[in-house]
Amino acid sequence: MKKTIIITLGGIVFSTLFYTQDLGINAFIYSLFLIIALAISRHQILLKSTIILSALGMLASATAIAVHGSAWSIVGYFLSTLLFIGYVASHQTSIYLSWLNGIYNTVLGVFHSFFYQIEEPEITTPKKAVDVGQLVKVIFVPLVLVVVFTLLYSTANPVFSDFLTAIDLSFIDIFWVFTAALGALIMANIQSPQPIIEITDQDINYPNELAPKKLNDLQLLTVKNEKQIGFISIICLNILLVVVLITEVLFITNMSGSSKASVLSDAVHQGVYASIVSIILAIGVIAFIYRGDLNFIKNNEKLRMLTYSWIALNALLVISIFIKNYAYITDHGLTHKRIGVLVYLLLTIIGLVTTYLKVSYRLNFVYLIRRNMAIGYTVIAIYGLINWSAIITDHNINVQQVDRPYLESLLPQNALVLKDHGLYEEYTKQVYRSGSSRDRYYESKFLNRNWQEFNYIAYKIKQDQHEVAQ
Amino acid sequence: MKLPNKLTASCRLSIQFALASFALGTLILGLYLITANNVFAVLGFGFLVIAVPFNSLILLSVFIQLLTGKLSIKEFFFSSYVLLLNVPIALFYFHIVTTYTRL
Repeated sequence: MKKTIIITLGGIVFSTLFYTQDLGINAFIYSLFLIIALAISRHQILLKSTIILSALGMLASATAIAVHGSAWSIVGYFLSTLLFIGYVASHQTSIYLSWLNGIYNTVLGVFHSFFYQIEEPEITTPKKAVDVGQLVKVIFVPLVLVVVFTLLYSTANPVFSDFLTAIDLSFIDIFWVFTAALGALIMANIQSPQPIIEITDQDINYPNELAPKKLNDLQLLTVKNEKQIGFISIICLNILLVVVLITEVLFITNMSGSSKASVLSDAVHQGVYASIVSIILAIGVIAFIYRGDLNFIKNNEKLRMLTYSWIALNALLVISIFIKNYAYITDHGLTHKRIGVLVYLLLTIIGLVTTYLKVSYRLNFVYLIRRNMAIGYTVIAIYGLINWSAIITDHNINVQQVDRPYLESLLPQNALVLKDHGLYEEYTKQVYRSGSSRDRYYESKFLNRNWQEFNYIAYKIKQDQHEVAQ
Repeated sequence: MKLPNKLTASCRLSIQFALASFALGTLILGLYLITANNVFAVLGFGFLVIAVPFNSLILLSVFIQLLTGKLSIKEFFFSSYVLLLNVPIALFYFHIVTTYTRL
């Protein structure tokens, strides 16, 4: 009974909030509903830290949608929601498995008992076929009879005909009902989340630490050979990276305030992405060298020291990229891509730190994936909370590096900042905004929103316009 | 996740068909997004024209098997659900293609 009420309510709430509506405060209300509904079916969700954190992430992203509604806040919202559902299914799993459990429950949750044969399978007998046929007859025969006789009576009796005509069913919106059915299906899928048992159990029991093994002479020889190859490879890579860093220092010290935009652009756009790929490859190489027995053989201190120095040199490479990107921002202003490079650099530094921890504490590759994915998600979720378009616009106007076509393309997220600088009315003409009609900012559509689509920026602009009109 | 061992042949067929349609559709979309070649967009629409009636026929056959008692109600729901799941996925892919090509 409780389950039926939650599913029915889920459908009605879903359709009321989302049918023909843009995203706004509706995402936040639906998240609250989801938390309450899942708390009713699973009381323990209020006690587990992973579930609480993912729920907070979901609510924070939903708030960001209602405040500025950037694309990253929407990405953060969907990631957090799937994570929350996945953690309710199994709160101890790795982040990537929680997403998988979240997707599994959202799409196939209602069939979980069917997959795992939790309920006794129904044995199909010919008698059942008669039952279904009988059911169809029970529904269709009276229906046909009622329709035929209604038509006959309405022809024979004008009062009855008028009565039938007076019944107005236009208030029923079939698409609203369809959306509600979809919402009910989603709720039925997630109202009691269950994990994919086999891989979830495997993941929970898989440790982060490497375990030492007893090696025979042949295995020991293989590991020693690997150590030798690793040692020489890392020495070469260290030397190569030192040379690269010297050239980086030369480039940075020769950079002047009047550096040509094209030179900096090349250095940042091509150089940055190639460097980031090289650092990710470096992490991969280290993870491969330290994948197993090499961690436990005697006299590997030199190799470890060389590895640490390579990690440190890679960190210096990140710093050099940061300096170039910073110079580019100082000279030419902020953009989403330039902020994106800073985020990549942050993630790369974190990746290097986790790689250092992996080598230092003899941890396995799964540890690297677990930690780095969790950190990556956290960074995306936090990144989505901030209205970067507003920050970019404010910064570029203040330092007088205005690229009008670019700032026009950031509407409506930067609308309040443009208004503060007295540029909103001018920029909404969008004389420079290129692309198809779907890329354009339509003020009337953005401002005239239903309560479900509440957006703080739209609300403030509308309020200002009312004040000016009065 | 595992499928029950004693699924009827038609239930298995519908699941396999739905998965094959999904995989092929995703492959075509992926190739289109990577190469940006319109040949893959046309191929995608052609695939849709073939896949829709085939999937509909399988859905119909599953329904008939339910009525004739050859399929349990759970198997029917699962088969039809998996087949119908491709509808929103196809719409989503269509949205991606139209957005990407700025149609």
